[in-house]
Amino acid sequence: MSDMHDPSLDAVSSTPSPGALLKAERERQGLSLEQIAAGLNLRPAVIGGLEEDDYGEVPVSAYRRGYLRAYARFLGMDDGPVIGAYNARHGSQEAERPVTPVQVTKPPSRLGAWLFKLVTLLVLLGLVGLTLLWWQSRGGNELGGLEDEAPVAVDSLDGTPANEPSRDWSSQVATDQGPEPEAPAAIETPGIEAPGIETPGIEATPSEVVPERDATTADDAAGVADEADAAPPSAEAADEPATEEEATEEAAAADPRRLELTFNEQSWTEIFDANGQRILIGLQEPGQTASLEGEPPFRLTVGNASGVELRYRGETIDLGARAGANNVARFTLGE
Amino acid sequence: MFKRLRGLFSSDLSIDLGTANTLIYVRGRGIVLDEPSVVAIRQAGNMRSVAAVGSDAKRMLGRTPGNITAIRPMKDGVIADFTVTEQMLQHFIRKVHQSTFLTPSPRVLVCVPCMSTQVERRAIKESAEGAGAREVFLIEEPMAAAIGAGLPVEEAQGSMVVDIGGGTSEIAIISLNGVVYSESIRVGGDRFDEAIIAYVRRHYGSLIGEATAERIKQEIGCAYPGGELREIDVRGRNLAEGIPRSFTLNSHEILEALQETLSSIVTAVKSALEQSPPELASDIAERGLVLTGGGALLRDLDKLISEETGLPVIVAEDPLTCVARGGGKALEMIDQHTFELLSSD
Repeated sequence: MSDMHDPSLDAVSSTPSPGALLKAERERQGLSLEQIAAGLNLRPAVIGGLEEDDYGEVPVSAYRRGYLRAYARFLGMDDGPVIGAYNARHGSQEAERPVTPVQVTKPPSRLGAWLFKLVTLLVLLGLVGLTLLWWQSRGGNELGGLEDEAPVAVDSLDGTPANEPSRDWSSQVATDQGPEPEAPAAIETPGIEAPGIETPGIEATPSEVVPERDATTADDAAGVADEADAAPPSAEAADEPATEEEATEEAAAADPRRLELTFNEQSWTEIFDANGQRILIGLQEPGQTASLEGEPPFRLTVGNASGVELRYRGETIDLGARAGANNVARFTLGE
Repeated sequence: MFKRLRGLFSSDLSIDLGTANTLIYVRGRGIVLDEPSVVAIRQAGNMRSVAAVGSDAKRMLGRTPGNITAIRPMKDGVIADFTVTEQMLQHFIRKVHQSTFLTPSPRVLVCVPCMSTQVERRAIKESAEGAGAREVFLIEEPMAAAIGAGLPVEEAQGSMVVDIGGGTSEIAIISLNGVVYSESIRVGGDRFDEAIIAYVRRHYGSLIGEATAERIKQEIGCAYPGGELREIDVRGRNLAEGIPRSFTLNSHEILEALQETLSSIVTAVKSALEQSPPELASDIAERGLVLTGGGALLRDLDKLISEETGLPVIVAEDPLTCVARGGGKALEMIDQHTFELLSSD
């Protein structure tokens, strides 16, 4: 800053320097530097510097100009010419003091922050999208309450595979007597039934289960599970050869690939078979019947379940017991 | 959204919302408005409407008929009448935007006294928002004054600024863009006027108005004895006779009248020096303190403070506009995110 005073500038400007103006006035009044310094509460060195146009003592221009004006007014001069002389010399070099922040550390990149925000937003959107997809695949707005009952239903079905005489195709089954007994093995029934097939005794189980099943459906659907699970051993223990043949006949009569539905009331129904083939979909009118064929197990969604009769393997499935609060039954049949 | 669009057509403003004068600095154009903070309200039945704002309204001060009241919505540096302040700001903001096509919606930097409370700051902020500002920033007045005076506020050196405004005097010690110590006393130009009015009533038994008192202060007021003697002729209503009388006042009398008010400013300055950390105090002793604000124009006030404190005192150039200019410089920096001068809320 002290190099502000440039000799070349002095040569250029013909007007007297502010320091010279002040010094002349001070000497005219016969005052000493010390007197001025005491009056202005500045150090004599600063006053001397001002008179010599050497501003090394006063680096900040605001103070420099302030001192010059204070000095001029102390001497009773008009401060205009002094500041004018100062500006003529140094004004051009004194750009308006810019305001600068103190910090020199750079702030974290705005781009990074934006990127981070963007990525977060995308991840969130992805999550929302996935949730929606999952919801959609679950089959819309159904409540999940029935999910718990599904295994119960399967268990009870396992216990009562083919005991009801199937009226419609009993004759057909009768003709196909030969291959029919192999059917249970063919569908690869899970572990519980597998050992049962070997012994004739297992074939007898249905006869025992029938009355039980009828009784329990009247009482409580949830109770069916336990009792049906309990039934096979007891049936095995019974092991009556007299009913054995009849039961095998009846079991053979029910084709596990067929479903029969009778709609007493309007109902929206959707049925998938094991291959994921949609074998029935849509709003069914009252009085309509449907006979379907497909690979078991079937996945059923039956709306207005109380108004629909379902027969499978010659047995009427109680849909009312499987329906949830909204009277929609969602379950799997023939596993 | 719409505001943002309108913002494209408005320039950023820095407003020095003072008790006596309101100054507006427009980014890129400098100070474009300097008007008294006075609003004249016309009352017609229950309807209140603005009759005049600024200088027009100031001429009405004390000269209004019953249905018009000329009021100063700012008192002691803060808002005294919220709605009127809002209307005044609205008027000023419109005035500095020549385009009448769109309602201006500028970003606004407003100076607030450093000792103002949160409530007062919020009132200022909300009234600026109500006047159409898109975004409002607040800056403390002494900080703006120091920037306006060209002091090196960002350096690790103490700078002391005494801003004597219309309603308040702000004393602050600034270093590294921050206020180290600040003191705000509710003494300012208005208090000088009141002191003159009281003095004249006591010694001449005459009543003079605020406008006359202000004129006396500006023409012959001084703060330190020893200057040349000046005189002024004033007319006021004689209390005993009840008729207007003319009399002459001189600068010594005014000095006597102002004595009490001046001493409270000097006391505040001294207490600020007492409170300052020693390193900063030594910087101030070396370089002195700077007077800004309209009060700095009082003759020989620098001499008085210099005498009382033993420190060099300089008067900033163009002290009246220091705060607005400083706010304007701060405005140029608004977009820099590291800018720490702006006060939070």
